[in-house]
Amino acid sequence: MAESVKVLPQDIQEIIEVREWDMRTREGVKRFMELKAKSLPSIAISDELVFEAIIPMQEELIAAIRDRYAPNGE
Amino acid sequence: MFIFRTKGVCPPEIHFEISGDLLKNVSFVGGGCRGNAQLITRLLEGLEVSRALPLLKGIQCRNGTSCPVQLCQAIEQAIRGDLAESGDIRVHQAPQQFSRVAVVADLKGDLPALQALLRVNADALICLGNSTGPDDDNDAVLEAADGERVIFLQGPGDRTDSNPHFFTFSMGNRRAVGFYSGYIQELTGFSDYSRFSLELLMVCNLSGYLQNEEVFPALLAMTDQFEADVVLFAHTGLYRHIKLGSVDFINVGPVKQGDRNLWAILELEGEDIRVSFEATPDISGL
Repeated sequence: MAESVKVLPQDIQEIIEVREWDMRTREGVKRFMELKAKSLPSIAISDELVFEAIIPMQEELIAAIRDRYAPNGE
Repeated sequence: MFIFRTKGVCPPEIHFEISGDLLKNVSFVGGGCRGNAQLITRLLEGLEVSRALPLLKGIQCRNGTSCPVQLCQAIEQAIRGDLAESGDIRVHQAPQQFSRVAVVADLKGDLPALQALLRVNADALICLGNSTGPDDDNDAVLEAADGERVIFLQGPGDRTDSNPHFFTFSMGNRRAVGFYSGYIQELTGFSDYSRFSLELLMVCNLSGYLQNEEVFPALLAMTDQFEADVVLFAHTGLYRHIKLGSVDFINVGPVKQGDRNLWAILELEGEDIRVSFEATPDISGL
């Protein structure tokens, strides 16, 4: 899952900040519960659970990011 | 052993020991470059702290820090007394195989219940914790269990702190682990990356002692990384057995249930384990 995020195009990388949570840790489990996730792997964008139990295609992930991207002032 | 929780680097924890003035068993845990980490461990093993510290300083990697710098900070905190040495999380592994075990919890010094348990035909009798308690029969319980096939685990209500926190044993090809509850993660020696920590966190923190069935898909996904495929735990007061994938989760409640004594029986049947709950009348009033 982390690799699919890391290979996103440069223009997408520049507008996102990526944080990976390890489900083997207390911190990771806590974040999983905060997001109300139920399955793995999961991707949240701006605290919203967007993809669950799947690794999205690049195009889907990019579209989901762009849909939620709001540049300053817009 | 010292456990230092890092900031800004890949491994979330650094474990190390200081023996006299010597660094021992440095370990970068939970992430990062394994190859370089192992090299650092080898190079630092047995090195005087005074010689190690200058070597660790001033190295930059990311976020304005690095693994060597984090280790340097950890050692300096340990020397100043700002980082407490962690207590041990005790894991006891049974040396022999079992084919039939009885498991209880929350015995709480109940001698008649223990005596009933001693009459059960089993290779081992396991109390997951709180074997002693406020009752007056604690000494009698400990004496009755002495030399028998009884294993007491550590519970938060036990009056002494010397029992293992985790007990692991084999039944055929199955590997079992028992513990009382998630209280163990509050102890200073607990690390997310130690043996059976994953099983504990998944049972207690993720699934709420298997009472949050909504997260069972995630729990199932994580069982691939378990060392144990039979996980026994207490704490909830419930008796329950759930199989997720290839892992048997068994919640064991208090031994005293109204006017009867109740326990779990695990019995090896071929390649598998049969789980049942058995009750006997409580005859303590007779």
